[in-house]
Amino acid sequence: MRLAKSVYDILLIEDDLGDAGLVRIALRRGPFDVRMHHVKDGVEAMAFLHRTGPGFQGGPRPDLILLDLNLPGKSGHEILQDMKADGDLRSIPVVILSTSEAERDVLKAYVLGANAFVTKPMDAEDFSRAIHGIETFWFTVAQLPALS
Amino acid sequence: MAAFRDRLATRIAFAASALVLFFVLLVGLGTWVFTAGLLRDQVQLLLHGQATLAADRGSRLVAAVDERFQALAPLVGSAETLAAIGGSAEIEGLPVQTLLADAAGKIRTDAAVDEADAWLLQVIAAGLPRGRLRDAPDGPALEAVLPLRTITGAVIWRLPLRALLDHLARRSDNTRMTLGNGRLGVAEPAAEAADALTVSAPVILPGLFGDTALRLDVAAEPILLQTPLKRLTALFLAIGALTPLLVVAAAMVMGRHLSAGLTRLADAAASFAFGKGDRNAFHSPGQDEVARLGAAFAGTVERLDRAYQEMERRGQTLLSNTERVARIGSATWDPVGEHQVWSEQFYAVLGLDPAADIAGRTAFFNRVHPGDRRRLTDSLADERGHVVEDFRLIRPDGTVRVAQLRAELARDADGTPLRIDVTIQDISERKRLEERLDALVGELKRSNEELEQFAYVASHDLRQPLRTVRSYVSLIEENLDGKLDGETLEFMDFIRDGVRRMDALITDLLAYSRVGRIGHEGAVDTGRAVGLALLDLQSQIDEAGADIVIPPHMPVVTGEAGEMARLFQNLIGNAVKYRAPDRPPRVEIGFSDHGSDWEFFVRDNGIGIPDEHAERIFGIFQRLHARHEYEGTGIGLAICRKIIERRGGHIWACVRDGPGAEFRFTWPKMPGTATTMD
Repeated sequence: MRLAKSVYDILLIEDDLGDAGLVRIALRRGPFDVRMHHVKDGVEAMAFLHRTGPGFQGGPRPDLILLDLNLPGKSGHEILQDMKADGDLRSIPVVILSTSEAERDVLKAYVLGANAFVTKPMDAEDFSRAIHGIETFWFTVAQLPALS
Repeated sequence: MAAFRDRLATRIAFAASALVLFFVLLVGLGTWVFTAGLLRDQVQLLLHGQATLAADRGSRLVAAVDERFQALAPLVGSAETLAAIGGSAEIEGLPVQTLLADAAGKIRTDAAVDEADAWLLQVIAAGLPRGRLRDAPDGPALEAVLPLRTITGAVIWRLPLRALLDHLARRSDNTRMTLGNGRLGVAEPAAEAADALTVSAPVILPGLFGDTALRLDVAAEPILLQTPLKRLTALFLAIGALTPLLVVAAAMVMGRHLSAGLTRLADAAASFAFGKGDRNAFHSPGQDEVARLGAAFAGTVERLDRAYQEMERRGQTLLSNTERVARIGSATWDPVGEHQVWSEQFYAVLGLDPAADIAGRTAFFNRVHPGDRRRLTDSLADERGHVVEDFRLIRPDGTVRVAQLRAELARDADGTPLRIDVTIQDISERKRLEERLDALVGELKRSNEELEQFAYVASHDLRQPLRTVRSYVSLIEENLDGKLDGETLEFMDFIRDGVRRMDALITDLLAYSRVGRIGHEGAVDTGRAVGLALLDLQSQIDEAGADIVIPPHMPVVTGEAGEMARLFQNLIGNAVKYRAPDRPPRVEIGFSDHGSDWEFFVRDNGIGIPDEHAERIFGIFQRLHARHEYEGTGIGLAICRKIIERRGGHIWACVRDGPGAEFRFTWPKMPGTATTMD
């Protein structure tokens, strides 16, 4: 068992800059030292994760991925499917962060291997609390053994 | 034809025969008894006459013998005289033996000497002539004894009764006589033994035989009484035997003659067929009852036949009209052969002319689209009986129509196919409408899917910017904490309130669009749904201090549990929300059984609903009050109505005299409805 890291890398896949800003503020105010990496669609996400293309070489492997569902181009569900089908990426926990409360979205996300589903709260305060909850759970309670 | 014994003629014959025979037997028997008695009386009379005559003659004969013998007495003095008399003599044709008896009383004849005789000795001793009836050795005989004076002994004349009887019976025909005194007697030899009729007459014996009496019995020979009786009986028996035969034969002939008219009538009625019957067959010649019956029958049948023909004509017209209006043609097909019979409309559907085209299998299949022929033939070859097939039809003018063929195989009692009953209908128009309907349904389905997609997108995409606005307003407030004046803070509140309302509207709109799209349908306990609703409304109820009245049992219905709970939550929630400010709210929930439906109600003592708005309130986003009075988006009742009407129920607001509102709704019962137990 590896000791808790001092700095965590989170990849946020979100096209809405407003929501991305809220996540950034929430993480900045949170208890953990987090580096947030933000991409706006599936193509960028895959480039980041595979460290290909300009700006992504030498990037870190994220400790957690926050994934929006309603994205331009590939939908969040498709990106999730791609990541879970990839042997290297499968072990990275993915938390769906969506405006949707629709049952079919939730069910589909879990079927495709999402590790959690969080509906974005309407209020900034609530939003921050939700993000802090995600951090606390995934960086302390559910920390996975380190991969060699 | 009725069995022989059931025929009217036979019955008449039997009845008449029985009657006639009864009388014949009665009269025959009476006549026989009377005739037999008469015959017997005649014979008795004859016998009586004969007996009297014979007895009289017998008396006279014996008297003659006696007279001669008495006359002889003075002459007989000695044996010499006696010798002169001779051994025997014939007196009046009767053979009389002359015998001598010696002193010992023994009678000597040529053959033998009789035994000594005491009576004879007494007569000899007395010396007076006497007579007697004696059983002589050669049969009973009358003996006259004359004692001799000169010598001891007697002269005896012996007249055998046999000879006397023979003499008497000489002139008696058909009778048999017996002569005797009861102890001794002789009888004429009889032809046969019979219990013959007998008449007796006394033969008075005079003179020497005065103390002796004979009786003459005359019995009729069978030929006199039995034979005629037998003949008479035989005659009567013959008549008795022949009469029944004759009577039966006569009765049969008469019965047949009487019933012939009826039989003819019955045969005519049995063979009569409506529409083509010969009514003259009912008429009989003559004026008798049968002829009148036949005439009446013919009249009735004629009227019936007219009615039948009229009915048949109407039936044909009706069928033909029906076929024409319904555009259904009918036909009868030979199961395998070419022969078919088509109705006019059948021709019309095929586009053929009854005057020019000949019905038949080939003619029919020539009109079937080549692409459908095989399928139709295969279907018709299927022996299970009932066929329904749609197929394309090419009319002679080249137009293609869609037709529906219905066929049913009829079989006889052995299961052999008899015929195929066929109807044909042009369903081109229906097909076109069906296709149009299918297209519309498809369109509706697409439209529904789009609506669903819209609702989903609305929930997602409409709320995203709202969240951004709201979140950043609070972040700005945070950043500018203490630097904003009161008016700016009020503006900020307006923004937040607007966002919140917009969010509520979107959420409710989404909920409305989702009615009927989620959850699992099944048996729903309405009591449990009310319980869940109250649980969700707990804080509002507590806050208002509301009194909720619920029945102990509530029905189980078919529906979706979440929707049912939401239905009661909206109605009870409204009842609590729209309460009157001056009194604590009281909400009553109940139901009643309306046969095929349950009717539920939710009643309160709140501010009530003006009658003019009773229908409006069920519209989407319809509100009756300003937001600052009563909070809400105005979609709750619209959702209620959608939930209820999707199930075939109905909801309405009751007009009430007192304060408060009352909502009622119906919900169709599920099969085998039960109420819940508490």
